Amino acid sequence: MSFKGVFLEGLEVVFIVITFGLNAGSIPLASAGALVALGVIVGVAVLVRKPLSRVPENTIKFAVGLLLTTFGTYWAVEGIGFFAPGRESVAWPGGGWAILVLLAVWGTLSPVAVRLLRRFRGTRALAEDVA
Amino acid sequence: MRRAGSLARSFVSFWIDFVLGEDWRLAGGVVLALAVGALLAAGEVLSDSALAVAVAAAILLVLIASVLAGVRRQG
Repeated sequence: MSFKGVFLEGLEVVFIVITFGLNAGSIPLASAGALVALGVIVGVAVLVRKPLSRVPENTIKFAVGLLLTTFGTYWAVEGIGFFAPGRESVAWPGGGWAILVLLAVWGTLSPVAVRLLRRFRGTRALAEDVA
Repeated sequence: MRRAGSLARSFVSFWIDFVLGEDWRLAGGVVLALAVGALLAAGEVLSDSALAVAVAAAILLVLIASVLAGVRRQG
């Protein structure tokens, strides 16, 4: 599971570097930026590793999943513009602020879904015990 | 030869699991929502804002349907 998560994030970085590099007309520059960002993240992670290790793993996974879903929805919808005649990105109402709205929606729906699934899983386990 | 076959199966299995995740219906539903959105964009049927909200709402409905289907399977 950890490998899949890290692999997914790595793939994202590759796509972002390629996208920004193509837009800027310089993939080496975008790659250099990504390397600098890697250095900063590793440095920060080393500095905050102790308090970070106290955060429950599932909480981190949940937060990361929320962010991935939010940005994934935002960019996937923007990308639909490729199929429009002008090939312009689809513009969200409110522009970048729509990301916060999406985060609020996913952040509200997800705990409800978790509770729903947990409750019914508990019910089935109880039913099996009784049987 | 057997090892190569086993490695190939593991490789394919990893990618199927990585792309589709635990519920292929959820992945398929999202792809369908995006495909319909693409058709609407190509036909310039809706404004950008309406299209964005419509596709996002469709993705949300797909997730809700997936959760309800999961509850039914467990129930």
